[in-house]
Amino acid sequence: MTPTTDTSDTDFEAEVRAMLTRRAGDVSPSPASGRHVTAVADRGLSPAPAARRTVRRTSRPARPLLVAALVVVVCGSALAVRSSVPGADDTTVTGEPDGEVTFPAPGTDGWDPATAPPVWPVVGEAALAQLPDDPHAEIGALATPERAAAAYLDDVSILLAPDPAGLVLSPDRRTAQIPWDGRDGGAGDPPVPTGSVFLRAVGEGTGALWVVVGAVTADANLEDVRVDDGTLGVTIALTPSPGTSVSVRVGIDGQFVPVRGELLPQGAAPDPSSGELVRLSDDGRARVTVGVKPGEQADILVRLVGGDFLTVTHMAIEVPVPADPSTAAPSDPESGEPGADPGGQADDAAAPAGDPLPTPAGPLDGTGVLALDAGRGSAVEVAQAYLDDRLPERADGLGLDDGRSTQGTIPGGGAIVVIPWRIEPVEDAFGHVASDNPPLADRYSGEVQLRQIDGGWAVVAATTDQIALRDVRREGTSVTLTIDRLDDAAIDLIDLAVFDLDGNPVGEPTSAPLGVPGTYSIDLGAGVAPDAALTVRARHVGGTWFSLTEVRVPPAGA
Amino acid sequence: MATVPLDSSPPVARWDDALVQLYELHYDHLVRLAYLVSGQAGQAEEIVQDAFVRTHQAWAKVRDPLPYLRTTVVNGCRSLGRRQQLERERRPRAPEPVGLGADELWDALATLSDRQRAAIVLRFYCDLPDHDIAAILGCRQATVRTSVHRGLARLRKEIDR
Repeated sequence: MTPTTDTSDTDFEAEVRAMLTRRAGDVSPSPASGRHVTAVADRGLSPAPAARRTVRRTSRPARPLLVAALVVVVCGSALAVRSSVPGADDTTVTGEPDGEVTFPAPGTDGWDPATAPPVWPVVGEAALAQLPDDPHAEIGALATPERAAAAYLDDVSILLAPDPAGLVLSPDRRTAQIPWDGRDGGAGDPPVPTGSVFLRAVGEGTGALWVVVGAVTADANLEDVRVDDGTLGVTIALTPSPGTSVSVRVGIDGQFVPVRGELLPQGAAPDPSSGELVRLSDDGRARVTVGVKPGEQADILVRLVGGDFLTVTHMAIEVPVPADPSTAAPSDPESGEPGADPGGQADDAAAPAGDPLPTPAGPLDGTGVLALDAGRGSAVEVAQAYLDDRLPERADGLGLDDGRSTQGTIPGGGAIVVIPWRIEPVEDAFGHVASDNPPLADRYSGEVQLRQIDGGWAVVAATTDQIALRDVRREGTSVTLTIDRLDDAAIDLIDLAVFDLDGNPVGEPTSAPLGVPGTYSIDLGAGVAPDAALTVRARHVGGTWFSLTEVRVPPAGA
Repeated sequence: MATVPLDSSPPVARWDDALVQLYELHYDHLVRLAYLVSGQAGQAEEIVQDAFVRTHQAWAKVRDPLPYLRTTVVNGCRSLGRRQQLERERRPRAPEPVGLGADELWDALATLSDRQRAAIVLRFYCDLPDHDIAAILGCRQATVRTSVHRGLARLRKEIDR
């Protein structure tokens, strides 16, 4: 029987109510301004007086930060790559006599994916160098064009998915185009929209990354992209859908700016990443304008709305900086126009070449293999057994997302497979969707990395996107490590422990509060050989396990 | 070509305005909620500030910010409790005797489970209906009613002891 509040309890309830009201007066909140909170969040700081943790920008999707390190690692080389890409002058940013500058839209004549500014994971070339280091990005979302496209589409619309079978690589393998379409149209539903994602490689060899430089949708185009006297304008042309609306989001240097449309979602709090609803004229067109300044990076994202985002059309520009007359490129003798400025980054073309990219650590270097179930079952089965072993009482919905797994080949032979894990929203019998509960669904995600050994599969490492470990090493009778990027609440807790390869605990586990970057030490006790094979696990502990990060501990002196 | 009329006036506001307004309107109340649920005045403001930062981060997914904030605050309090419990387990020490002080009802509140305490506070301080409390606590409405009922019974028992 469900208990109910009896009227006889009314007096006691009133007493409780009065007590709570009285005790609420114990605290005298002293808020900083609300502007301060959003500002420090944007800057990656804590609003607390003693800044204790890093916070990612709202305007940046999660996955870009997961792959930040690789971007940082290769950004120097990226410049060199850009300067040496054949046909680097193909993207034409056209200067007009009256000061207007026009930009070709992705997929149109004059637009070159090899030199176009990235739209994801960051906007603009300059932003690549500003991303933080991330040691867990070695084989992350940017490792292949297919993975980068999938991660990008995941960020802009849950309904869209790439079709890896349609991947088209340029002859030099530096650019790629992958078609996308909507998911699960279902019987009777209208045909799903289609389009393409354009990517280009940054860096060389096994360390090359793929960034998205544009996306197009069939029948939804960007036209007349133009900067004129401090105003960026773009015409959205959608056919054949007169009278409809599209979501338009314009970001300037990472900040979304109003485009004079209706806020999205309708009937709810404004959502900066959703853009604004811009109504098209009868001929399916609309022009939006925003103010820009020289040197700013802008991205224009247009999505058709229908319950979710059904399409994606995306491009980025970099507002040209007026040339110094003494160093301006000579005019084209035939057109009279200023010299071409590939991607709006003419200065970068002269940048010196960077050092060769280091080979990523991890599965590719053949170290760090965990002794678990090698040789039994498929990679997915081994990964599942691994999760079951490491997180027997894990959060509801925490599981493998093997539909998004990727496979690669190790130079010299062998294969690696990366299988994402995440916490899926769970709907209970009452209809409560767990995704409404902030600590659970979508709070954590990561990867299980496997390597093929002797025909079987072995787990190499597990990563958590939101919990990054680095500098794991033996120091005397301890294992030390640094937690250097955390997005989570400072009041949560990470359980840190060391195990041998049979899964037996070694030494005294310790705890690290989430949100407190720093170096931690786990005492192993006496008698552990310097070259003992050990792993260190970091798990977010609550009523259940919410996350799993596990890497090998290099032997002492390594 | 027909186009929608242009408006080239400069942007006048950023998207953060809505969150700033929420902050200014509800910060104090949420701090008091955090204090009542956690029982720790020193942590209440940090919990709420964390909640705002996380809401800011999750803005794209947040359909209704105030309930989301409340949920985040309550979960922050519960996480704080879990953390402190784990720390106590890692560093065992003799439990301190629990005795009721001058505000015996307040002291009795500390004896409730996390869920009971949160349910009591959300019901009698925030005056939320069962449906909203259930959403915040991630449980059924019947569980809310049970938690409130048992929480009240426990409080009464403690102060009668």
